[in-house]
Amino acid sequence: MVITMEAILSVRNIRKYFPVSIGFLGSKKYVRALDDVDLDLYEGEVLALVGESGSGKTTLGRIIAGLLRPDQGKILYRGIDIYEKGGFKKEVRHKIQAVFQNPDSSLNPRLQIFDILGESILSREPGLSREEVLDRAIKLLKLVGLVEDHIFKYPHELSGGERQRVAIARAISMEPEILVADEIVTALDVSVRAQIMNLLMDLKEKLGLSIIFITHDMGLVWSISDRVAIMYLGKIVEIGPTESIFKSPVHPYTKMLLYSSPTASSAEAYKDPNYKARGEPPSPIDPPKGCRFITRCPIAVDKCSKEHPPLTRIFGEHMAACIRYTDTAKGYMLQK
Amino acid sequence: MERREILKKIFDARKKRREEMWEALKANRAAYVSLYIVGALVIMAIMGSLVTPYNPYDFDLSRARMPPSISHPFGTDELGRDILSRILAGARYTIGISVASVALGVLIGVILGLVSGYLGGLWDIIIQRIVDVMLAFPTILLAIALVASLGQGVASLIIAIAVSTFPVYARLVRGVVLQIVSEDYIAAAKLLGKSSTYIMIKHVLPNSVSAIIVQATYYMGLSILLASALGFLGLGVPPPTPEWGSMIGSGRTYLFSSPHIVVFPGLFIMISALSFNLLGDGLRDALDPRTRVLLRRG
Amino acid sequence: MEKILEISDLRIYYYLPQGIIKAVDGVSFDIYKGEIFGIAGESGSGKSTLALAISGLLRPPAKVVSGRILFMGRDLLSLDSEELRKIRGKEISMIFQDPSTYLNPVYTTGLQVAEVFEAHRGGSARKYLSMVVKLFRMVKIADPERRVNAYPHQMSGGMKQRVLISMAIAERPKLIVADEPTSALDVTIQAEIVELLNEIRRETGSSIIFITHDLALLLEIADRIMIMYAGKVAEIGRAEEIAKDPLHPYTKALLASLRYERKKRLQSIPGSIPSLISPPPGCRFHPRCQYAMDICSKRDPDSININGRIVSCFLYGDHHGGDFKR
Repeated sequence: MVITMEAILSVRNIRKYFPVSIGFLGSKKYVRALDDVDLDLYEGEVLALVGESGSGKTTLGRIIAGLLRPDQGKILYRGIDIYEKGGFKKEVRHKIQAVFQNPDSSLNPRLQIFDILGESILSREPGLSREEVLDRAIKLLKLVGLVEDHIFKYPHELSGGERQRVAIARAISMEPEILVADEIVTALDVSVRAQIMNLLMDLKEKLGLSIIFITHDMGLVWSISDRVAIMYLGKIVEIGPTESIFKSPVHPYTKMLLYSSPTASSAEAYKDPNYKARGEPPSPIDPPKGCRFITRCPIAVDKCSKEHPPLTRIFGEHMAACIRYTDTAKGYMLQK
Repeated sequence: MERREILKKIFDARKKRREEMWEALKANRAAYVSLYIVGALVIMAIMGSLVTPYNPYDFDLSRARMPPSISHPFGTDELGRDILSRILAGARYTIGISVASVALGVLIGVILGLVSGYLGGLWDIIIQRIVDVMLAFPTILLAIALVASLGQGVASLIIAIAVSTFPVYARLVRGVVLQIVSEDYIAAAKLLGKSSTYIMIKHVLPNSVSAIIVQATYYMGLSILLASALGFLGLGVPPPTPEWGSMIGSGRTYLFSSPHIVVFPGLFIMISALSFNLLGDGLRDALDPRTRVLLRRG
Repeated sequence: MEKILEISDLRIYYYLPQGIIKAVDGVSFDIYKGEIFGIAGESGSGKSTLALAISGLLRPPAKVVSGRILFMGRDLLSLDSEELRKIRGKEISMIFQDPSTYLNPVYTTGLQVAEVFEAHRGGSARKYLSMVVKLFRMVKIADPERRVNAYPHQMSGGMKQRVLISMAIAERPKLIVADEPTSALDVTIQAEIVELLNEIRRETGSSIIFITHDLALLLEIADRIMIMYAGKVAEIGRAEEIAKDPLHPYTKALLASLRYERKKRLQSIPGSIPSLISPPPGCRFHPRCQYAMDICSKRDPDSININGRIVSCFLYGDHHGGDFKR
């Protein structure tokens, strides 16, 4: 499927802070989960959202899926603001769906697969008879690689991989255009992981989905994503075409991530030993004023503590938020 | 497979699950026995007054305080009334009041807990403050105060006990709801565009049932004790109604001289409270699909 | 090279009402001094049960049915609990997955580490606090003098894991059993912790058993690796050799699934991990194996040694009455 340069989803100026009260009379403090995040999802692409804990990637995923309201900012689906006064805009609710990480909690343990899928089928087509729902449900099961025998089972009778397939079936039964996949294979065994990833890609082609793929596994990013956005402490620090990011990463955090990831070795990632992992991320409650990576950055200078660098275009679609990008980019040129 | 076959399998699986729950309950001997005892108590409550060997209100001072004998298996009380008959007739009050007050308390508490836990925000703050204030009062004092202001009688007793106990349900249900709300299948229901009310009723409530049932049956026991305590204090149903608690109350003067007057109602109170508790434990384990799986698969 | 640990034909079963789970079913391997020995396996492979057995922490319904665990020549399975207690924490120490559950929230971390000294040297924990400061410095905890008085909740996940590591190396053990020590950590923190373990191995000469499901990680840090599947050993060998030339079909499949190629389908292994109560007859991997032969469903392959590589598969050795063939 050709990726058009049409942004099917636009994320603008998203801010989300979570209040944390310190002490009885303490001032209200906030965990800055997301701070002024902008993002576009192009139709037909797989955009990977990468980050470690505290990066905000899961929060962003939930906001995009319409499960969490941002404090500020907009999410536009084909130009339409998805959040309206009461909640999610009804007409487009089904266009954005999500699958989550934990197969143990993604299905209601009291319901059979038939009921679980039936609920979503009937949400799309309310008037169907029981037999019609059954037909659709079985078609869905086959689409995700399960046999019709699974229809009368309960979640605890299925393996983790099978439960994830059901969760995927439920998501696609809504006929979405955008799928947010939040660490969907992280909790699965390696041998099952590949099966689910291949299923996801097959469905993407078959159904014309645009996918936001949230993960911390750089190998998976290399395998399936067209573009990748690297997040650190609530901000996007680097974004661009996957090959460009892997072969010539600009932001020091991206380099550190690529160097530390065991699976990035199989991808043709640029591993720079100067960026060996060091230091600890600061508390997300009071991030440092300037660049948030300053506490661990091997090339930080004085100016870095003054203000957070904006995302700057490096080359083509590749952008990074680092004031020393010219030195880094020069380094690559010299190598060529 | 043909459609019909599949539908049949779906229903068979549901039936099997219900049977498994039943088996799980039976496996717990204490709970299983308690189920029958509770059943017997309920029957006693409904029909007790019809099968009394004597009129529970007939008093005869000449036959007062007689120890258990063949004609009076439980003896007679301080006014010469047959204790067995009074126990049978009194079941209606003690058990009936407890069941009604627990039902009412659970209803109020569940609604408040659901709203508080699921909707959160201002709802949560307001409801929790109310609950906090009410929990600050010792239950029995609250009940006494309520009965005192509402006047004596079965209805006020039920209301008093229900009001004294619903805060505990509200808090418990809120806790359970908060846990369930963090599960991904709730988020999945939101993705379908379902309303909060729908999600609360169709997804949150059924998964909270097992916790609610345990607390409800435990509180059944507590209600029985509470009703009896109020009766003992003279605040329950007015005499000569044979409520078990008031039987103990009026008979306590003779605790050492004619202990049977107090022992039998006390025994029945104890058995009732205990059976409800044990039944509750058994039900919780039987109803929670995950515990059952653990017991089954390991 | 000196052998620290020798495990022969170990079988550990769980006796449950629904059946017997053969979690570890005939596992043999050796650990040498100063090496990092990786144990890779998915869920149900038996690796965690193995970790517990070596640490002497197995509890019913798990039972060692047969086999030996020789540590420095002594069979750990024949020792009584008092002798085991002397060894545990001093000569064999453990690091587990989630540091939060292994640290008591009401005591300072310094005191908890000091307890290790107290347990093996007597006296009160307090007097060992200065040694704990040195330990914290060794595991690269910044500002160690202050941190010994910190409570677990005041520390990050990575730091807590360093505390656990400091507990593990306090008495200079010969063997450290690390069961998924970095699985709960972010990948950049994981890299630091792994580097730290490497340094510790170099400086103290302790051997480390590194158990994880992350084979990619092991390929980077382990000297030798043992691949387990459904309670059995599939292959043991040097990490570089296994990476270059895997012998067992399961190893091949695992490595293939780790090969991420741009915009290509990922290699998956069909089927799923078998039940351990009624595992498939013969070789436990045969239902999912693309090289499966007739004999694979009938008999369980023995382990053979091919130039230092141990592999349990009928494709190799003279089970077929010939040289080993691929």
